[in-house]
Amino acid sequence: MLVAALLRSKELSSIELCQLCLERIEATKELNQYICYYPHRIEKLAKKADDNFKKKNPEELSPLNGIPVAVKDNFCTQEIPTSCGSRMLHGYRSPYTATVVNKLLNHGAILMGKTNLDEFAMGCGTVDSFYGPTRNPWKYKIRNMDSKNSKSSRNLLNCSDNDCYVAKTREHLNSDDKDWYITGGSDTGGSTRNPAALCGVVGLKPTYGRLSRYGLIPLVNSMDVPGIITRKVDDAVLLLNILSGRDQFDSTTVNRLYDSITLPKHLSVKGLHIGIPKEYHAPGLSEETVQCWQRVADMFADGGAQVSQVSLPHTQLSIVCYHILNSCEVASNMARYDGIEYALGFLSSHKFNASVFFSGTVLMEEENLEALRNYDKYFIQALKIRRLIADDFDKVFSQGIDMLLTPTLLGDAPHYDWFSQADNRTRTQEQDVFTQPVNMAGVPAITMPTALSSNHLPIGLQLIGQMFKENTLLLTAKWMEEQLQFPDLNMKTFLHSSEQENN
Amino acid sequence: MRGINSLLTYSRIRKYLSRFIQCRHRSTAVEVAKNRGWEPVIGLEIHAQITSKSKLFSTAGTEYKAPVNSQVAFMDSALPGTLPVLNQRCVEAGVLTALALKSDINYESYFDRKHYFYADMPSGYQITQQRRPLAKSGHVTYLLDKTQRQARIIQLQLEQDSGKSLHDTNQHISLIDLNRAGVGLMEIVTEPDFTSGTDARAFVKELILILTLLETCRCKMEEGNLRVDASISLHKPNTPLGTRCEVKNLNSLGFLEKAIEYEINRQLDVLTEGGEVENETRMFLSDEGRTVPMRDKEKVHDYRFMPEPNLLPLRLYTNSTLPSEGDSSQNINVDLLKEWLPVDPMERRNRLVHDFQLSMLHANQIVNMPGYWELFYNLKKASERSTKHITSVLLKELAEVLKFSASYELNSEIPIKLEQLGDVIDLLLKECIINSELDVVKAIATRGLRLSRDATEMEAAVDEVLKESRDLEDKIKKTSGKKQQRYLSAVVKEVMRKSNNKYDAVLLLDIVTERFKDDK
Repeated sequence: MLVAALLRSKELSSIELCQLCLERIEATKELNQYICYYPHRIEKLAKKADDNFKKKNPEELSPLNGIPVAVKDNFCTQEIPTSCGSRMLHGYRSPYTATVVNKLLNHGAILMGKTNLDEFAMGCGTVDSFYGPTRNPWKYKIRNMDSKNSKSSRNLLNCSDNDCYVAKTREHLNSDDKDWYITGGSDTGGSTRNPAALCGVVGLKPTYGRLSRYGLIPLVNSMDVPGIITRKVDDAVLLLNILSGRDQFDSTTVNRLYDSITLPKHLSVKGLHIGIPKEYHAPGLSEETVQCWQRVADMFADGGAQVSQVSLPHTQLSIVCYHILNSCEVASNMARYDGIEYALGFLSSHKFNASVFFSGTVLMEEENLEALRNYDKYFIQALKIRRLIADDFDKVFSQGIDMLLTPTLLGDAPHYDWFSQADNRTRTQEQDVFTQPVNMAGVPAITMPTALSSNHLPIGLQLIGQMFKENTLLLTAKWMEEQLQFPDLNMKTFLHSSEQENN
Repeated sequence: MRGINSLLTYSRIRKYLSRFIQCRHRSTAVEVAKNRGWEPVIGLEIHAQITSKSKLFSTAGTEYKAPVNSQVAFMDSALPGTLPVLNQRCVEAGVLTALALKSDINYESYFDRKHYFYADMPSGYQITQQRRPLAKSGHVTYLLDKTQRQARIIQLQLEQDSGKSLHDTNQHISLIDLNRAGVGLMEIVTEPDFTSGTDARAFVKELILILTLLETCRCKMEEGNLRVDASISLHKPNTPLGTRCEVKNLNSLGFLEKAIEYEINRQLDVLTEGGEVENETRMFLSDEGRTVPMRDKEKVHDYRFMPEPNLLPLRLYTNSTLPSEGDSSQNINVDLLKEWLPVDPMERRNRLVHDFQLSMLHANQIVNMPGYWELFYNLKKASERSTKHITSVLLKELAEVLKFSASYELNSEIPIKLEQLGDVIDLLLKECIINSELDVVKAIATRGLRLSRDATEMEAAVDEVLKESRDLEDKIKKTSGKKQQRYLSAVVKEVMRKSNNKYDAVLLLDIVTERFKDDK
């Protein structure tokens, strides 16, 4: 992390860094990546971080000290509101802070704000947020709102769910294009990897049970995992080391000690066995993505890895099964939002109607409850299929495969128009098709930006690893990063060109 | 037409009469039913609050009568993002109870969510054990009159208690108190093995005794520690069971018995009139002594059970399966708990009868009084005292004393030392004292041994002492702080000496202190 080095050498103060980030947030506000941020609070935290640099030996300080981070708005934070992208929790202030956020803060990280998401993180394009959709920074041109081309501003490419993060991440890029950071996401069916892939950054979904879910407002408890979005693999390693570990408040965190991961200087994939699951050649997969996939597979082979085709026979069933389990847990988790405890302000002034609060998605609808009503018919069956999907991974990994290489998404970032043509569920089925089997099985995965499409939009590839073997996964990802030299989004030209166009 | 009419009138009269009869001879409800060829079948569901410092899944306290909403963790009010963490003590209490009920422990059990909307359950679901409970198929032997009966236990499961709704009918508002929300419950379900209210009552009484001995539940029914639901149905012998009604939340043994008797009569009336008993949930109106249907008839309630995804399967271990790695204090060893298990009440009775030739009646009395069993054995052990005398002193004289003992009522603490009690019995044996003197209360009264708390009397006594030693009074007036305290104590000591320790010394000191405070 270059910025960290600058901070340590005191060439840059945390206050200056945060100021640059805030300017970027302001400049790119139209991307709608943040639900809330408080400059005053940020300054206070940055000042504290700078004090730490003065008082303590930099070696004793965490590498995160003074580093801006953003967190998806479904992690509870004590001092700033937590909305979950929904009107139901609009203005809600949690009386406690999520474990992972606490860890970040304890390491001196500066929480810039909370990023946008689909209501209760249910969706795949951040088109169903109470706070409006987010836009992908790769294609979107910042305009004045009164611009004549207001119509064309509809043409925005949607970035997916949390890709607000990504956008935000970008803002943090300081003008020298130094480097920069980190956002905490959550990953239920791909909500970390999916936006990371669309925005050309690294998105890591750790093994289920490695990071605490305490304070993460649940979507599907048995699949939710806090995710890590960074620009570089090294940053993901750093974050994973800091965030991992047993939490007494989350019974599903695994009770084991994690050796902190250090990647070797000289990377090699020699001797690794990489599997290419044939079922991931799904209908709708774009030609460019297939080429990209092929190219990287060849690259691994050239690098000395053994690459073979493998089969995960139950992959096709996964998305259907995912939806049943998803519906059941969501219906259950949403039972507490009955309009009495939360959203009080709305209740007093409006006649209560659950659908007012859950605008886009069908959270409270019969359909979701239906699966639970027919417990044996759907729910038990879905659990059995989930077992089969997990077994698929086990089988492949026990045959000597170290990890799997797959596309992250069918193609590059889709248009808002395309999103709005079908309902949330249909789009999720398409967008999460390669990512959710990983959540069903609980294994770790990482998406790496690989190439730019003909549309000048990023294409990501996914590496799926074995349970708790993030080490190998990250090492391979780092090797990929070095080989591919994927270009960073150049913020200077991005903002500059926007200005020009506006003029 | 006429025929039907007259039949109706007749049945009405009979119904009227039967109510009348029922009022006069309530206990014969079962006999009446039997005479008409019907047999009552009763099953019970007992919710026993687990005695533990914190709740089943949160760290909030469980104190009774704490200020409203003062024992609520984030988890109990279902704040977004909170997760349940299982309380080990509650599991241990559940396992102990299951062992005492001679049940088969499930070494792996699961937690499930049971969904229903209710204002005092903020998450919209209760965490319970539906698919695989903590324990299954046990039995309890209990005493009905002088015969031993056995009731079968279907299962024991752990679950959360709900909060409480407080309805203010004047202001038309409902308030919610979440102090109780999330307190650990053991739900104990019996087979329909009971035949009358008296029978069910005897069983619950025995269960209370067992749980109290285990200290897994305080069993104060009036405080809601233990609540009973009774399912009642009638059928003709050797035919399938009839439609049952469930009477919910019976919170005293008396109510349990009355509600069951009432319900047997009610169903009998319905059935003899040729009607059908409706499958419904009813509540018992204790003032009127009858049951009525609950307002929210939850006829076909779909609870939409699903596994609780935030909790791992609950695993229990034995000496041989205990994992060698990891923190062993986190693992519950059933074999260790078995060693801790006290002798159960029926076994205690049988031992008293068998080993000491006590009558079952006396044995039962000794077992039912908290602390008596141990006392009996200790008195027996200390010297060769006759069983007859020990029993007599325990059940007559000591019982009489304990009636007035607050500490015994509160925490079953016997305020008399074992040695003293032993001496009394020995003296009695040697015929040194006459039996009538063993009436301790009477003895205290007649001998002026009772501690006096009469303030005016004490004032007078203080006056007297001060009059005799003027210098003491002066010294008190001149000094202050610790020194003065010393002189004040001297006054108290003197009064106590003169009165032969008649007064309550604490009160007396207050009086003396108060007096000199006024002077200044």
